[in-house]
Amino acid sequence: MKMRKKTIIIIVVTTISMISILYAASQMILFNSFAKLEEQSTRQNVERVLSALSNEFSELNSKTGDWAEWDDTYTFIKDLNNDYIQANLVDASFINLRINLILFVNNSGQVVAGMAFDLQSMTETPLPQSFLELLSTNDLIWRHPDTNSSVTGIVLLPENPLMLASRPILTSQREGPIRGALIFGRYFNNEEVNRLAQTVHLPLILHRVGDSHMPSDFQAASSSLSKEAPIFVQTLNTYSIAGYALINDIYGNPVLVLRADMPRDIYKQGQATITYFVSSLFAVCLVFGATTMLLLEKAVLSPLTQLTSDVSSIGKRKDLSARVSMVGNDELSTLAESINIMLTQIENKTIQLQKSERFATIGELATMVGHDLRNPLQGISNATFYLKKKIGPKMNDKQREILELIEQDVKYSDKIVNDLLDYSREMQLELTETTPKSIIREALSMVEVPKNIQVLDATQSERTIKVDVDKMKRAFVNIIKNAIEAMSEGGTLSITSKKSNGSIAFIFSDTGVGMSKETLDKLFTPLFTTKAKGMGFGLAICKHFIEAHGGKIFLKSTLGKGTTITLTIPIEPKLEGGEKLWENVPKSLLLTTTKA
Amino acid sequence: MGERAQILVVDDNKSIRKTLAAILEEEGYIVDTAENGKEAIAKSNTKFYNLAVIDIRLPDIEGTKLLTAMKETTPPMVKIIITGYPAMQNAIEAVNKGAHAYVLKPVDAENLLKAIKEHLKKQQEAKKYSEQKVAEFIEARVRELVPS
Repeated sequence: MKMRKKTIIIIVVTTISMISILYAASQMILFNSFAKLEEQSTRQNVERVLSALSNEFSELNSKTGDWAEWDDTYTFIKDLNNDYIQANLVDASFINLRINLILFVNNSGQVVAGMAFDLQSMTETPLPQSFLELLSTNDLIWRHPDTNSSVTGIVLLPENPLMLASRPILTSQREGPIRGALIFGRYFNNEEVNRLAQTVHLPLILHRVGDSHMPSDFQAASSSLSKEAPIFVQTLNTYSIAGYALINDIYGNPVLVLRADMPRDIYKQGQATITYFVSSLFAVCLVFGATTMLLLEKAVLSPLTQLTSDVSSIGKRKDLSARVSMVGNDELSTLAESINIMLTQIENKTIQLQKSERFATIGELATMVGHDLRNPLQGISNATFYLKKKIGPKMNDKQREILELIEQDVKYSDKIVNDLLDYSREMQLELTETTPKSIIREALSMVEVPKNIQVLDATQSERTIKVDVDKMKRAFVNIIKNAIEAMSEGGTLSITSKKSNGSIAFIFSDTGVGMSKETLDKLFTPLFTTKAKGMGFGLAICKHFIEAHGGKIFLKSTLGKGTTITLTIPIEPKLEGGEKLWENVPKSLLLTTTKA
Repeated sequence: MGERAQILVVDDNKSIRKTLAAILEEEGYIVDTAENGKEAIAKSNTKFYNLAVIDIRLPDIEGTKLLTAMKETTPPMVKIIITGYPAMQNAIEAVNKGAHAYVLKPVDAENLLKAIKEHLKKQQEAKKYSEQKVAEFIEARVRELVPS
């Protein structure tokens, strides 16, 4: 469970921090570029408004020109005839031209005729006094230096800003001399601003520079605007952005601030893009995380949990024959396989251990039985000896034979007991110097070789070895006897010895019946025998003796062809706890020795 | 050799004790038996034995210890130890503690009898030799004291 939790935490933390970093980065990068785009677009829109305004002026200018360069006007400014006024200075002219003011000014700056009109109420109004005063103090508007001259622009009147166009009065053929100026004026009031707004499809608001009732955003804008930076952009809120433009009057003084409002489409688009990006990223992370978890769960955690529960349940049940389940072909199944191999080994070792424990118990028991059997056997042996001595001469053959059978069987029983005790006792070697040939010869002398068996003794005599002669002899006798028994139909037993660095090998090759593989495997286990008679201690004791000398015993056998036994023993065996040499003990002390 | 040798058999096993005694008696020896160390010491204190056959394993005392626990006699009693452990360690210990011989189990009666015979002969010879020495010594002293 720990691993699952850990993985989830790691995935969640990684995802969150990744998304946060990406979100912050995209906010910064995208919003910066979006903001630039937004400002650019706003600027362009403001420029569009300004160019629309300038169109208004050129239109006004050309309309003024139409009237100013006209023979009727040229005549009227001279004679001021009533017909011209009757025909031209009428309401319809104002409505058609969409203007509020027509003024005729002669070359000396006197307003000789004029009319003002309110386009809302459709009524004639008095001429604006403030403008007339302006004309009398400043000749820029009405004095035209040449026939091509024209003046357009804004003048700020107390009631309204006024858009005006002024052209020199000429003949229809645009010839002079200039007889004065014709001035058309149009108030730049709310209606006019709305009309402009409709043209450019943007809401527009107009304020005078220095107006104390100006909204705060206008104040901020007008402080940033200058002749050098006539356009200023600032965001009003999340939904709209405003572009400001400074408008100068005919004298070049900034007089008006125009604001164009635009919805923040680009900003919204950017935000939508980022939202879309982050949410798709989140979705990807979610899918990725879920897939990872699913994979981890399916491929690692659940098999691991299964494995853990299998192993702990095997541990709890102490059932060594059970195995963990294995699925798939990955590292975990390899682990499961290894665990199973380990379990098999543990099972085998446990069985072996149980077996060897059983054997040890049997061994201990056998040793006890052996010891206990010794005394009654000694009694029988003594009794037989007594009887043989006392009444032997008086017995008939049958009786003597029976007595001898008892004697033989007691001897055989003694041998079994001795083998048993030898096998179970801790070995103590009594080393004596001898030669391979001499031990083999002594061993052969203790075995009765049937006539149909030939023994070839090719052992060497030149190298002396240090061994426990008695024990080696007994081992050899055992091997020779086994070989003879394997050749009941006759055959050859060849015995050779070979030196190799530090050790001597004895090789016994017979041409007997040989052994099967099953027999070979069990050969050195005590109590195993293929013979009807005997306990089967022979080879086990041989091995015991040879190994006590630090040697080894190898066996090669083919059924029907014979057996080869190879013994290797070191020339000088190393004894545990230092060498104990008993050579100096007088042999005369040993009155009897056990016989193999 | 006129005089019949006295032999003490020390073994806790009844059948061994009895059969060995029977064999030795059959050979013409006078045999006493003891089934443990205590009895053996008691018997050796009251009576002279030419020879003792002692099992190394006794119920109350180790055979090798019994060797030193028994009374010193003149001529020295021949002690033969019987052991089931054919190890030099036992042999050396037995000899160091005063055993004259050391016989491995299973005991071959023939060999044992031979050993007993040999050792008794040696004892007899030694006795004769020392008696002769004593006689010679007395003779010499008498000759010194009583000049002819």
